[in-house]
Amino acid sequence: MTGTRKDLVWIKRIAFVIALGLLAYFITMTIVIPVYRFKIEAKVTSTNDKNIFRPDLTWQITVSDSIKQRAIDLVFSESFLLSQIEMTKGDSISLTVNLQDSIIALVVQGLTIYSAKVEDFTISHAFAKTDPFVLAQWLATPFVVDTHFASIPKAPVLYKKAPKDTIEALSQVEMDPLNDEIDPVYFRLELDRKLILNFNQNETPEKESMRQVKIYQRRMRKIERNEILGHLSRFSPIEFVPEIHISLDKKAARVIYRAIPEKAFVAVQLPTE
Amino acid sequence: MEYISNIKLWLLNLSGFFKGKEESGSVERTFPGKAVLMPVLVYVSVPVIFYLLWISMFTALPFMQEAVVKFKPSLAYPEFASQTNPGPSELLFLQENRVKKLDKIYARFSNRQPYLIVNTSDNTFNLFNNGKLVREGLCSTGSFVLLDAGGEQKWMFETPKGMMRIQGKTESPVWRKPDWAFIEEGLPVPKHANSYERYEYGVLGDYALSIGNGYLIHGTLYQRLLGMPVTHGCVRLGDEDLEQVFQTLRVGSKVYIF
Repeated sequence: MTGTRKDLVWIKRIAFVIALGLLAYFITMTIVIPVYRFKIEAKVTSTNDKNIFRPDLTWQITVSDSIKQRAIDLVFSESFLLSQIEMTKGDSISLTVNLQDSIIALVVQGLTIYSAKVEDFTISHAFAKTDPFVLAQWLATPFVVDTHFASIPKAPVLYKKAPKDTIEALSQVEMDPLNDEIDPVYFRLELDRKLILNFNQNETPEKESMRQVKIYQRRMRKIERNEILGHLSRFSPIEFVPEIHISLDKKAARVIYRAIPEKAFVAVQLPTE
Repeated sequence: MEYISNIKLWLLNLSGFFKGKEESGSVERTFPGKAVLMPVLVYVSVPVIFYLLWISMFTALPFMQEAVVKFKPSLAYPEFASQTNPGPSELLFLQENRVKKLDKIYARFSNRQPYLIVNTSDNTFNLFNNGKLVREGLCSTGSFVLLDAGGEQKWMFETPKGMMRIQGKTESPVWRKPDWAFIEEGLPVPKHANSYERYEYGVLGDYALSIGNGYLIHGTLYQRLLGMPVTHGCVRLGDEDLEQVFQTLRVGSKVYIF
């Protein structure tokens, strides 16, 4: 009986310490997160030299909702156009993600060379919480793809050893090109200026390819975990990176992932409503 | 020092609180179920508190941010307070004009000249002239085969991506076989660059258009393979498609490959 009571006291103590730790964690996070978010906003405003209209709060409060909505639509259109015009300076393939019209396109110097319909998308709630005029400023400069990874290889390379003679060469002629059309297409583009685009095929993956989907998801979780652990080890606040999830036709997803070059430019237009 | 001793005293009181509970454990003796109930309550209440705090934190966040924006906008958006604003109607007029102007600028980039788009994933092509699609169809592009002949002799059969220009046009082209063509067939490589063994007639179709670095748009004997990635990096077209492409594109015309 005495042993049980001692155990209970220890359980209470441990629970108390855990609760105290959690409380401390939440208090810290509550203080750290807003401060960090504002730092990102400040960075956006300081690096942007585009002269997009940005009204003060008085204006936003005093004008009617319809005028404010029209102003937001125009500002977002302007921001997207500025970003696209900026991308024409290079001659490599760029990506435009127009969530207003649900169109994703590959563009070279202002010419659309491939476009596909966005079947479905979800955007981070952070965008809704951000001032739309500040957001338009942020989107007025194209993003650059920092890192990417996918459930399919970027280049479907097929290794072939040079034949020793013509007989061996003849046996190799029948070698089929690599056909990875059944592979599920999921990919993630991590952009500079803290934005992540997650693409996935609209079709449900076939049973045989579920393993690849799981491998991809595990890999994605591992990257996120390492990122968080990195911040914890450095005692730096965990940075909030908004994400956009886009569903595409499988074929379109494969074409887009394979077409975009390293460090490709990306212009994004968010829906205004 | 006094401060530290106060903390020590507080900690001592706290441990006394636990000890006191332990010593005056008459309730535990009369109600043994509590020994089981208490830890369960603790383990249930902690995640509930955790969850509630989590929810309240994210609910409170926008309000906290709003408060900062309201009372100290310069902290959130440094340029906020300094900007003068036009009236609503004036603004919309100005803004609409700006967007129209930018639209016009961007429209200038649309290509009225003839150009070709090659999709290496689907192995298809689109030919445009005066901004209109004039022909589309199947083609064959790089197989992505990595041919390894040992040592540093490696070739990757990939069609280059990006924007190219037509650099030259040839009728009845002749193929001068490079080293990899012999290695791939298991044949000895001729020593001389202009050895007669290197020249093959009629394999590239009736026309060839050079897009630089030795890559060509040409015809093929293997029409059944059109739509598949089987080439060594060149773009192969069907006979009729090739003829129209050859007639439409000029030297300097753009070819977009992705």
